[in-house]
Amino acid sequence: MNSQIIRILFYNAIFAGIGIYLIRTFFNTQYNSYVLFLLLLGLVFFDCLIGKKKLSAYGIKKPRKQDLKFALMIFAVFFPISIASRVLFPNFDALYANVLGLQYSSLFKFLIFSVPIVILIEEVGTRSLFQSKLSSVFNRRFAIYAAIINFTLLHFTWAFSLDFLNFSITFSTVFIYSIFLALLFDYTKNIFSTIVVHILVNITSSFQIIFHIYNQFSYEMILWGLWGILFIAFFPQSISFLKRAFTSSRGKIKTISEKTLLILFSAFSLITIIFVNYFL
Amino acid sequence: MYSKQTMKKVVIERIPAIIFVLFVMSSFFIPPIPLSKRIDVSVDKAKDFVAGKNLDEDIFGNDNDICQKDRAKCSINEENFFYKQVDTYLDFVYLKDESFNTSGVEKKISEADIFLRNEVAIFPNRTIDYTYIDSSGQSGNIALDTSCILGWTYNDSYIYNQIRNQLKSYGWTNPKTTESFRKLIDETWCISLLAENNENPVIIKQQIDNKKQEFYNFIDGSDYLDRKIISGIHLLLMFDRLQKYGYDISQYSDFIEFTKSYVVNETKTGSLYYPLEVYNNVLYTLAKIHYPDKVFLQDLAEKILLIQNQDGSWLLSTEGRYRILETLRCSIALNLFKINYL
Repeated sequence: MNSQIIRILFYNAIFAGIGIYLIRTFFNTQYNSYVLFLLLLGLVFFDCLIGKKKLSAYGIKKPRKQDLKFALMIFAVFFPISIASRVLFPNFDALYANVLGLQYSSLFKFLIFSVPIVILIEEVGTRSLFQSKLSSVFNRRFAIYAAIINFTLLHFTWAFSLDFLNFSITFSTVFIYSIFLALLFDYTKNIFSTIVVHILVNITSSFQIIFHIYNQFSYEMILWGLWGILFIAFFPQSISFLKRAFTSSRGKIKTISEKTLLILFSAFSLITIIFVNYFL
Repeated sequence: MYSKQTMKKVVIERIPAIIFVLFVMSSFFIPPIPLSKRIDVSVDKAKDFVAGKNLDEDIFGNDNDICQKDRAKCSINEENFFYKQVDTYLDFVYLKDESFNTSGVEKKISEADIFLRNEVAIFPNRTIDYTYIDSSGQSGNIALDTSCILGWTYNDSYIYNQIRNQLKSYGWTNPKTTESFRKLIDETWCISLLAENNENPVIIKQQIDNKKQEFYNFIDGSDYLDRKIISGIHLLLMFDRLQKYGYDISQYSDFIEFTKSYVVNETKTGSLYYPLEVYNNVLYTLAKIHYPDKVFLQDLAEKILLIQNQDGSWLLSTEGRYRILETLRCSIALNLFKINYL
C-alpha cells in the first residue's frame, strides 16, 4: 500500500507541475502540452506493467453507448452553473478571454490545438493516474473527494492571478464541474465519458464567451437556448444519475491516518505548484 | 406514441428545470445598464469626490493629523508635498482639454490654474534641478520634468528657452549617471515642449532616436513591469503630440506599432504591482491615439469601474494618499474612452 501511495503522489506531482519543469529543463523548450501528454501516457503504461494490470483499470477502454448517454446527461446539468455565472458576473467572460487570448481570430486554433490536448492531459492525469488508482487503494468515496479537491486546486495558479471576485467565480465553478466529472468517472469507469463532457463544456463555453464579448447577442441566445433545452430534456435523469453515482460509491473515511491522507492527496497538486514555483 | 399520462409525467418531472431556464433566459432581456451610462455615473461620483475633498488632507492621507500639527514629524516633506500639489493641479487643468464636462469642479480647476500660472510666473527666479534623477546633474529648485510639463501646458516661452539652452546631444541628463526610467519619461515632456515651440526637426529626431534606444534598453532590463509599460505610454503620448505639431513621424511607425503591442500585451498578461495606475494610463493613452482594439479598452474600463470606491474615489496607496490625483486620472481615462468609442 505504501508503495502505491508513493506512486500516486509521484504521478500527481508530475501531472501538477514537475512534468512541465522536467520538459523545460531537459528538452530545453517552453511548456509543450504534447510532450506532457506523452509523459503521462508513459506513466500509465509504466504503472500497467509494474502492477500487471490492464489499461481498463485506468479507465482507458472502449467507449460504450451508455457512457456517451451519461456524458450528455452531465453536460446538460452544467447548464445552470454556466448560465448563472454569465448572468451574475457578466464581466468575467471578457477577463477570461483576455487571459487565454481568446478572440475570433484565434478561436479555431484554440479549439483544435489547445482544448483537446489540455483536456486529455487533465483527464489522464486526474482520472487514470489519480482517481482510478486511489479508488483501488482506498475506496471510491475517498477517491472522489480527493479527485474533486485536487482537480479544483490544480486551477489555483491560474485563478490566483485574478482579483478576489473573479478568483471566487473561477474557483466555485471549477469546484462544481469537478464534482460532476469525478462522479461520472466513478460510475462509468471510463475516461472517454469525462473527456466527452470536458470537450463539450469547453467548446460550448468558448463559443459563448466569443459571442458575448463580440456582442453577438442572438447567437449567444441560440446557444443558451439549445443548452437549456438539453438541460430540460435530461433534467430528471441527470439528477437521478448524480444521486445514483454518489450513493453507489460506498466507502467511509474513518481513521485519522485516512483523513490525513485524504488531506494530503487533496492538496498535493497545490503543494506541487507551490514547490515548482517557489523552490525550483 | 406516448399516452397523455406519460406526457404529463414527463412535463411534471421537468417543471423545476423549465422554470429555471425561463427565469434565467428572461433575465438576458432586461436591458443592462450600458457602459457609457455607467461611466457617466462613475465620473459624476468622482467629480463629487474631488470637489468636496481638501487637497492638503488628501496628500497627507492617514498622516493628516500628524502633518497638520507638526510638519517636522510629517512623513511627506515640503518638496514631495509641492510636487504632488503640482501633479494634482495639472490633472485638474487637463480636465478642460479632454472633452470633460467640468460642471461642479470649475472652482477647483480655477484654483489649480491660478496656482500653476503663479508657478510659471515665478519661473525666472528658479533654476532647474537635475539631482533628483541625475547624480552628476546640477541642483536647483524645480525639477526638470515639472519645468517641462509646466512649460508645455502653458506654452511658456521663457521655460522653453531655459530648457532649450540646457539640451545636449544625449538629452538633458547624463545617461551614465541618470536613473534610466526617469530619464526616459521625464525627457519626453521636454521633447514635447521643444516641438510645441517649433523646434528644428533634426534636433527633435536626434532626441527621438535617443528615446527609442533608451526604451529598447529599458524593457530588456530588470526594472519592474509597471515602469516599462508607463515608459511606453510616455513615448506614445510624445509621438501623438509631435504629430499634432506637424512633425513627420512616419519613419517611426514600426517603432510606434512595437510600443503599442508591447504596452497592450504586457498589460494583458504581465504581473503588475500597481494595476490601477497602469490601467488608467493605458486606457487614457490608447483611447487618445484611437487604438483599434475596443474590446481590450472596454475591459480596462470595466476593471477600473469595478474598483471605484463607494465615495467615488479610487485609492492607490494603503496610506490613503493621493486619492484626488488617482480619481482625476481614472475619470479622465474613462471619459475619454467613452467619448472616443461609445
